[in-house]
Amino acid sequence: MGVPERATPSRSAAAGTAESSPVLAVQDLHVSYRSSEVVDAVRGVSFDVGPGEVVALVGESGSGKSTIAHTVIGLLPPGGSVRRGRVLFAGQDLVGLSDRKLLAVRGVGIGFVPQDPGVSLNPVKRVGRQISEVLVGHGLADRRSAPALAVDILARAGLSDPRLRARQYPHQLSGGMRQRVLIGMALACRPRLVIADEPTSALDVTVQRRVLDHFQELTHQDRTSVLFITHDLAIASDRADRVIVLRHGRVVEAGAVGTVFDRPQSPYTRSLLALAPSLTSERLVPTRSGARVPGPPGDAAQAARTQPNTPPPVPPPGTAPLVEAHDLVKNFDQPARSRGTNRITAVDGVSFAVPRGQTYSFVGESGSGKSTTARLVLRLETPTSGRIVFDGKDITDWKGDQLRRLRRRVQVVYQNPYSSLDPRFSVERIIAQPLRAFKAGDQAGQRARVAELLDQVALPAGTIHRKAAELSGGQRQRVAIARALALKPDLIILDEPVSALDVSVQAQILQLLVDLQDELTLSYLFISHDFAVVRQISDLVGVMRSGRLVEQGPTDDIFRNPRDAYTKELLAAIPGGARRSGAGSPG
Amino acid sequence: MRRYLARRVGQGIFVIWAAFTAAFIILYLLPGDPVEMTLEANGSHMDADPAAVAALRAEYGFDRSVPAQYGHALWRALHGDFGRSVPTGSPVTHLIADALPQTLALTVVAFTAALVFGGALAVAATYVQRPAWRQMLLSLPPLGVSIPGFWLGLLLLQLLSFRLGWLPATGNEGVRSLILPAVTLAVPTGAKIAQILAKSLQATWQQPFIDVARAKGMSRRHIQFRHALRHASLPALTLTGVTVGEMLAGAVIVETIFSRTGIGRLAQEAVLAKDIPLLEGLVVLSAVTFVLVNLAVDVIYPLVDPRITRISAGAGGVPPDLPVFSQGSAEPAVLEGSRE
Repeated sequence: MGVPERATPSRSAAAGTAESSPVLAVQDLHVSYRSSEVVDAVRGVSFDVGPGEVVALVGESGSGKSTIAHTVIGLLPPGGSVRRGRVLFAGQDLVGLSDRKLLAVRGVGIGFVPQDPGVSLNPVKRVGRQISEVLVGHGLADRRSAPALAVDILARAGLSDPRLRARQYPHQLSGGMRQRVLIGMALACRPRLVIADEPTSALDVTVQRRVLDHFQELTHQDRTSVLFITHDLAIASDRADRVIVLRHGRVVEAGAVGTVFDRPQSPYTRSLLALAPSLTSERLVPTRSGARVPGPPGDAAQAARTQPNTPPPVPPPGTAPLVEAHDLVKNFDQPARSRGTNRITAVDGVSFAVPRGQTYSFVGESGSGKSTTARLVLRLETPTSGRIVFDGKDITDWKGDQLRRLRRRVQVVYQNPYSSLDPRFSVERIIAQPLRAFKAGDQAGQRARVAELLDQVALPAGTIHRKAAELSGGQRQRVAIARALALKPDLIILDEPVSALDVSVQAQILQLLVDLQDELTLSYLFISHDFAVVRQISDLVGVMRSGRLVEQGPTDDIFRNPRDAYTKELLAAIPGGARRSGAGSPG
Repeated sequence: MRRYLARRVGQGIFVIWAAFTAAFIILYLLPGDPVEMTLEANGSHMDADPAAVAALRAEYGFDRSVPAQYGHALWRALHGDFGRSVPTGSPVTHLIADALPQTLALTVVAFTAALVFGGALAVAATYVQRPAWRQMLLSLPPLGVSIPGFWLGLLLLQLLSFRLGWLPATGNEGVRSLILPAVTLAVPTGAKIAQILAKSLQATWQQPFIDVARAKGMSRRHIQFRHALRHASLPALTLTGVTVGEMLAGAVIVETIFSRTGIGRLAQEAVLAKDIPLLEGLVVLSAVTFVLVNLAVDVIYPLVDPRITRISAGAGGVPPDLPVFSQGSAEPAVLEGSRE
């Protein structure tokens, strides 16, 4: 596909003079938010981005990385203000610049690729119009010429059939296509700097890789500088020239990618690197068997990794699996525009078994049918055909009271602890809810059980009266796990339980799950898009694609010797490949 | 789209039939019959000839069984005949046709004013940046909503007609007589539109795609009119469909206060006289209006928000040459493959 050449306005003029000096220089930046109290989000951050350089700002939530990005384009949310410092773009200080003058920088000088392509395009405007308005707004085209240029930009962003795309609305495009549109939009005026704020964290790995490859190609061609914001160390190591590690609004470590990742100086960077699950990590083993002392969260997680050679628990031979699914099929009927119905097969002939006390994981991209399969096991959906056997009983056609009894033995932990807990409920009320629903014990008994559960998930007893809204993401997920454990279930379905959490918290929660499994002989049905996480927790893995189970088997087999082409593609697409050299890595 | 429309029209017809039937049942459950009440009103109740009364009853069909009367009324209504008004004896359709233009003029003017001023207020309130002005403008709609219509009407009448004599107080003559009633009717509706639209605009400004538009270097004015307004207007559009009913109810009060002839006055008189045929006609009229306006709203929805047809009519909104994607789904291999 040819790259359409257009007149580049300010670029060529500026290039001669500013080529050697940094495109962006952030100097001693302090930013704070004022709500009920003043929060210092960024405290004295300085860095440069040179011409054509890709700099990654890496950090966990609350590190200030997004605040820095928003300060640079002058889009701090209300209440946010720059306390001190300068943001020099091509020699001009953007801090305190009037709105009018900022308009001439945004879009033309600095492009912005947002985080979530699903909500970042105006749903009621055609894609082409959203691109051409940038060109018209900055005087690079008039109303006549803009639409054709917008089509060129879509083509350049790697969209097939760009003419059609330009006439479509965002909801008619897939996530990856939308992100391409946003990238095209950010690069439309050929800016000198592009800020990419977690540009692909909402996309599937294979799509993520293709989109980032293309983005890299485009910015490289034009020698566009990139400020890449990410929480994902692997992506940073793949895509950046230099890395700046942030924590609590300060720079912890900065340097070339090779240096930071191979010889990290700061203990924080080292722990981040150690905690980030990778394809080479082993299955976690329980750490608190026997005399269990609920220590402060985090300690257990760190201790866990030091004993990688304990063999995984092996079920006594001859025991029947807890859950068996035979040839499950689930169709959804959609009203069609013409006669008849449009049938979507979400799950297509899936058979698997979850052994007692072990973890079976479904891994796959969005739309692969993994969540629907879990809903079938939960009997929230009824399969179109096939059989589900739970603890030796066929539960496929259970209704009413029988189902209610099943609910007692099968519980769920959802992905997002921010939406799966009522923020106004106290922790006690949340955890006691299943107990009350099933009238398990009297009030005193329920209270004792809640205290016991808090202890099991290693939450301090003091949290019992706090509201869910006051807890951090990791604490909330612990509450959700405690709620799932309340009725002493046999099976817990874990639907992406750690994908909304920071890496360090993620590691703690995974360790907790492994410990609980050991103590309570739980079986897990684990759902994830993240191979590295799956590797750490699973005994068995099933890879799903378009409703089919393309491959299943023991975890190590799948990771070491993937047989299916799709599994291989997925494994290869996982970020971190650039640094994943030698040392037992797959492929 | 055609199926979508067909379904909506079908629902509309059901609503009209249901309104007709409900009104019939309620009116027949009420004690007293219109013939008796008419005679009472004329003072000829005592000395009326029982035979003559019976004949009158027979003429209006009140002597037949209720189901028979219902069947007859429905059959006639389907042919556009709602019978004759009991107290006046003139055909219901004539009475309505005479009153309709007056009310139509009143409600159309009032509604347009409500939409223009309410919309402008919401746009201005969410556009100004100075917090004090914003607060001031945003506090106007709740004020407008909380003013009772009749009180506002009386106030305007006192001030502008009686005290200052700028505008006529009563009557149907000319455009000037329309101003005060229209304002009275427009204020509560306009305030409601402003309130909903302002809320919706505020929420839209919080959306990530607005941040993206700002990052593209678009001005606030451009974003307000080219991005936010269309996205925010759906809830206001929904409200518009509901407002029509309130407009008709409001017309009863406003036409009474300003002594205008119109549907509202007609309805008020019909209720007092328990004029069953006329009331049936009026109920069907308001049901038809309601259905038509909401049908119009349904047709406008997909024009404002292209996602709508898809939601309500399944895959109908997606062009045939496009695969249907689920939210945030993986890029299909076909599309990606053909590129690389």
